Amino acid sequence: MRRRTSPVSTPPAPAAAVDSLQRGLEALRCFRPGEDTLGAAELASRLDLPRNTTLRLLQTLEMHGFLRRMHGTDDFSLDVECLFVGQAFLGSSRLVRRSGPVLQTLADRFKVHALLCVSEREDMLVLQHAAGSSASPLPLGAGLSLPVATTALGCAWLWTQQPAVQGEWLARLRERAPATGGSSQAAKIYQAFHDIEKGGSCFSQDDSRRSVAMTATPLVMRDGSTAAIGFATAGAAPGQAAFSPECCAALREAADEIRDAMQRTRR
Amino acid sequence: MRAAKPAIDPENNAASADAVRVLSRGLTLLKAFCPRNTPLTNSELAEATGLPRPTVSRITATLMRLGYLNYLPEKTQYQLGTAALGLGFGTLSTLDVRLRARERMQRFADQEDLMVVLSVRDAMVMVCQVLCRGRGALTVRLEVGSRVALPYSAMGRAWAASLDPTVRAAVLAEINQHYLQQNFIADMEDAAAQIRQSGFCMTISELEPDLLGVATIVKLPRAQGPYVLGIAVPAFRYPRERCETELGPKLMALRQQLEEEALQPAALSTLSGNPA
Repeated sequence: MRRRTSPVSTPPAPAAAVDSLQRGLEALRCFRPGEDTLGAAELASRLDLPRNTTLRLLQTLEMHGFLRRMHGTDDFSLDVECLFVGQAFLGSSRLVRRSGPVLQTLADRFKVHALLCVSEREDMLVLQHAAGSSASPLPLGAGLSLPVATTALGCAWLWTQQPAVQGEWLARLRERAPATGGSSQAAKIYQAFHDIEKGGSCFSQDDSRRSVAMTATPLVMRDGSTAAIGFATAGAAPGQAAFSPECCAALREAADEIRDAMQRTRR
Repeated sequence: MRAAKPAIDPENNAASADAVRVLSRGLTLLKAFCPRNTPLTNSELAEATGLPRPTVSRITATLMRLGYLNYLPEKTQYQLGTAALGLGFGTLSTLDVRLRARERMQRFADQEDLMVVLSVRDAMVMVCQVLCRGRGALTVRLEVGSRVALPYSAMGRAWAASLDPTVRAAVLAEINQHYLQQNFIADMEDAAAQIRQSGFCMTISELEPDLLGVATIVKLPRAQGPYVLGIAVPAFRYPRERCETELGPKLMALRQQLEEEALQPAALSTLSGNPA
């Protein structure tokens, strides 16, 4: 039987203390791909906290092995405990285990990067990444985040959500970037929804970086949880032709296979 | 929208100490789920960490609200949640030098059909940060984040060999104290002699039966500390002599390539959706 903790013995933690836990963990999320080190001042700015408060949080993270201070400086880099915690989560995830072989087979067959993502906060978090043996290198990997609104993986996940959730996303998008293409981005999302309804997958291309093209399909488990799987490829303007109808069909079949495998192991 | 700044008064030491203590305890709880993310109740967490149960209850509730823990109602247990993967794992595993190293290492692993690992030392273990496998059926259970007992692995011995002799003596004493009733001094000194002679050292059947390990130190710029590059192969495929004359020199060539490439200007392009 579940025991309830007496409210007398567990008074709520002071708001500032709880906030320090949140902000301390947030400091680890400040590091973006390619950022080896960040100074205490920069971290304080990103966390919107006073420098002294930030330093105390950073020292605590350092003491626990989540950050490492560069010798003689106030610069910090991520440390091994971040790997341990992430690996512990990945190693225990049934979804990661079941999808791994399926995605690797597809990645090798079509010479692309195959990805499994779930929604985390306002991004798509990569849970599984498989690179085809001769796929062009891309800085993708488990634990990295992709934007929802501008990637096929994000759109495929958004498609699985209730209209109210979709509406919130689209409204937020318009609110954030009214003058910089918020509406055109919304139109692309509607187009992605239309493509999914019609053919089961959607497409995106990021021209601003490395002409990374993506195609993705929604993944709705039988317990109602949602994810998206997709392919990514980089190169000289690969365009929608980067993904053949055979490739898109294999992706949809893979989604069914992962869903079935998850269902089987649940029994 | 950004949340309001926390009400921490820098002048108030008691409040500040309290805030740091909560973070410290939260980190302790997260680490309690490593390495297998075994589901744990509040009582089990309290026992594992030595923290008072009411404190554990409060912090697990906060960590669950933030997505770092999942709650399993059937058994009133907690487990690491999706957000725990966002705590630097992705960034750490794709840092520029490692990203480039990984591409080169994967080619090497494919060509030679073996497993190659880039690791760093943490206390008494070597932590695998980049790991690439060839297509062969090598069944060593290592993944990114795996910890390998330092004194038993070629990587650990190579790391120890890279230390200044005085520091090495102190570390060896610490290792012997950690692994009670075992003396690794002769093994470590032998590894250091091998490194001085050829640049790499070897272990046979130390970590696992019939597993042969070869390792060397690799110097990467802006690295957190010394990295060690190691390979693992089944001993039946590679007799010791073949390792010395063939695999060892190939590992040294890979090390040179990684060091040279790491010196080239960074060219990482990122797909991250985080705002600049």
